[in-house]
Amino acid sequence: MLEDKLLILKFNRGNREALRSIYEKYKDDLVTLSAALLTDVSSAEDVVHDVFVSFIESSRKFRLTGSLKGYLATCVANNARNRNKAGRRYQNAEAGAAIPDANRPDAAAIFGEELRQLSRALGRLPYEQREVLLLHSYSGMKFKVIAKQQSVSINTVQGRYRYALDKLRSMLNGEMKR
Amino acid sequence: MRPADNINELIKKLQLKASAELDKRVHDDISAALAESEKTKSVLAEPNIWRTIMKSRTSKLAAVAVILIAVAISVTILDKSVTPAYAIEQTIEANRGLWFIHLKCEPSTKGHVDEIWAQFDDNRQLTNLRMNFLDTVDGPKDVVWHEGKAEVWFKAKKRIAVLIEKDKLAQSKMYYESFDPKRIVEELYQAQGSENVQIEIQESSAEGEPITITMTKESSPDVRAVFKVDPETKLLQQEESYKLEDGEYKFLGRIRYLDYNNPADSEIFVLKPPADVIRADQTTQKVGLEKGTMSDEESAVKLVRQFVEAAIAQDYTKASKLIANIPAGWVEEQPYQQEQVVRLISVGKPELNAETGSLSVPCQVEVEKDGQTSVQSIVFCVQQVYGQSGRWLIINF
Repeated sequence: MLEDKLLILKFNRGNREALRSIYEKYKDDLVTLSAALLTDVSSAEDVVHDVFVSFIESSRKFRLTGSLKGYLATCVANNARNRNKAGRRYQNAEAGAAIPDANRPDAAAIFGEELRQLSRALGRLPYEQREVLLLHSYSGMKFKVIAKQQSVSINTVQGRYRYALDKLRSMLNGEMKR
Repeated sequence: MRPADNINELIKKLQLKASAELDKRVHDDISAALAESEKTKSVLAEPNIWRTIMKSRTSKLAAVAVILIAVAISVTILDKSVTPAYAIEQTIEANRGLWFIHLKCEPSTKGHVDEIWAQFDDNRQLTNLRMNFLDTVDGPKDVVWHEGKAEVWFKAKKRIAVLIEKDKLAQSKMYYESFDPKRIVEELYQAQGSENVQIEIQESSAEGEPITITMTKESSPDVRAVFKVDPETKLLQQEESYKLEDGEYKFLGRIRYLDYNNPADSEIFVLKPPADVIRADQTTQKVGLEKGTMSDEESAVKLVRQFVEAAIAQDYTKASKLIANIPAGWVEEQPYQQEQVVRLISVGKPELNAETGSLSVPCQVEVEKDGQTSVQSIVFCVQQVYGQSGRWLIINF
């Protein structure tokens, strides 16, 4: 936390190395989060790139009020959500079938064999449930912060989290038994 | 440890590496942005020289004279101008009064929504929604979200399913947002401030011609969005998407906003099917089979067994509850019932349909007609009941 504050202080003064350090420190986590949200590695990297481009532009005005990891994860989630919405217009996106196809080769190959089942199951969750689950379980964000970010009540966020866990458990149990 | 025993632990194990290409893109951007920042710093240093010059009394008097002349010139120019330049904020302001929107997507293609009607309350919250799909995996269907319930009219199957499913409603709402002109224009306005987005606004001198806004993002230069705005109302008329291929932008699709605040049909959010359409209401009673501790596959097999056994016993009331609460009379009248099912031979292994999340369960039955018996293969499609957690039902066979 202190390290992040120091990095931000240097970042505000236009220190190139501070910016590089922030990117190096969080890039893998952000790419992972983005890929799990979008089930598409190529788009996931575009999201992280866009987030860092905006972050660079904010260098002199940026003020850190919470955790830097949480802030960047929120930016990734917002960007991914917009991409997801825009993408659904011209993809197979009828209501009720708008879940990304977790059987696509790139989606299945994202996380390697060990976590392939989880990756597929995540891809079958409704987007908003997947987002809450990943922001909480992967990025360590509190429900209160996620609720504020998504402009919904904390009960809605907790409900989405519970639904997501139940569905994942059900899907994974099914996969294991097959 | 099985994955499902501790999902959180498993999620924490997810780890991808950023590619070398991404590293290069971001590091290049960092270098470019900071080089630009250095240039800006030099420009910002210039006012010091200006301040030095302005310390002179003569300079101050001269500056006042220049300002007065400039004001006089600008007043003359403003007097001659007739129409102020368009700004995206004007469309945001115009959008505040919207309570009804009707839009159409072009071209109509499989799986895509064709037409949408949306209505909002005084707090700008979406209250009613209708989405018509011309061609989906279920054939053509109309989806209406009204008073907290979703009604889906499967036109080819001549069936309407009434259901309450918070997730589906939330999905529908989220899906609609991708077409919502208010959201689209607000994002356009925000993008306007970004250095990585190019926005060009063209106003035609011809009366009534729409204002054209073209947006291209540096991050995806091969995609271009073109917006047309009504010069009178300042409301969005359409959004077109293009993709760069072989050096030219090719048309991808268009959203046309046909009506604002003018519902041609006051009952557009009420489905009006012909008399022969069966209505299966899943909101009035529990339907399907309780899954309990069974796996999805086990419950799918048990569901199919129970349905076939009910058909053998000619218990159509029980059978109807296992098929989305479709009226028992309809089950009895189905063509396969002309051949009485007399024996269940086998139920095969369920197969997951990744696109819909449903399971296909093959089975073989012995049927009898006019004293003759034969073997028939049937594939049942089963899935979880919307809004009834832990229950599964037959949706097709």
